[in-house]
Amino acid sequence: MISDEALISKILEGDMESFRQLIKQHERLVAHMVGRIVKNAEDREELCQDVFLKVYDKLKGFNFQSKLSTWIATIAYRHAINHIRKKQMPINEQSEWEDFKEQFIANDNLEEELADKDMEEHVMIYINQLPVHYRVVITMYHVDGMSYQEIGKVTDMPEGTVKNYLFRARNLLKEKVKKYLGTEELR
Amino acid sequence: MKTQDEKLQESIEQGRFDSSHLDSCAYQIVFDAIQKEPDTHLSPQFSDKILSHIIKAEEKRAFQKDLMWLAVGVLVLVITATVTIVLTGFRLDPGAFKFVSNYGGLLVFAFALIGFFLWIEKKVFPHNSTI
Repeated sequence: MISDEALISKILEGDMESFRQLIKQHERLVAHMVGRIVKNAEDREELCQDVFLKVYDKLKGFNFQSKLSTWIATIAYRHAINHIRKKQMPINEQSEWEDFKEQFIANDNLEEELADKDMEEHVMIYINQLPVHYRVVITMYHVDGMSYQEIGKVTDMPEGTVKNYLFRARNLLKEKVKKYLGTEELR
Repeated sequence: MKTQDEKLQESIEQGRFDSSHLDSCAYQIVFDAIQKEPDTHLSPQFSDKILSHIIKAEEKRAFQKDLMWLAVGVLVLVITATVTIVLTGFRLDPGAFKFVSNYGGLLVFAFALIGFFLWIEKKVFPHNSTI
């Protein structure tokens, strides 16, 4: 496989097929990042396109101080966060963890959506109910295989915060699953 | 000091879980599910769309660059012409055309003659002629 350096230098020489290769290599990562932040499916593909157009424009300035994937993920994260800020959508910055946890676990308005779905699908739906930063951190760590350090670089959060968000996200999901398993046993 | 939940998450990550413990089972379900790829698929023409967007933008940029150079060229031409006119004291003079203005009839006759010869040429040598 061609190295990032070689790929970038080919793109900078004007080789569009190399840029296509870069898109193919990173489209999943960008789709995950944007998809976890922006819920509206219609906006997602357009935002992903914008991300790669930004990548193309800024590629000359990439200085190899991080992995290419981390750099692209950073652009995707910032672009998606700016999008929801512009649309004035809440970013769900909860202040009191215990209050939020209680509310999250007690929230039962997904009953209809969850009917006839298996446990894994339940968890996927619960993930979408998490605060945006929790969703992003959980996806980057578990799906994209990024380290705490890389996630911190992408989201501009200290490593400790990343670990904390990851722990809390998994804890919230576990409580939801536990609650569901409890109600299932009662049925 | 680590909480019970932190310990459980760590042991599940290391592949150890206690099936008799409800929290451990719930965590196992969560860990299995969160590793699944979210449903965020892009259209198959995704890369084509981006590339065509870039090509169009570059063509537009190149056209704007050409336009800019054309504008610079015209500006330089106008400046040069103005400077030349000022430095040489150039005046527009009809010159020989003044003389022709006295022979209007001759001029009309000349144009008519040229037109006639062209018509004759067209008649004698049609377009598909191999000559």
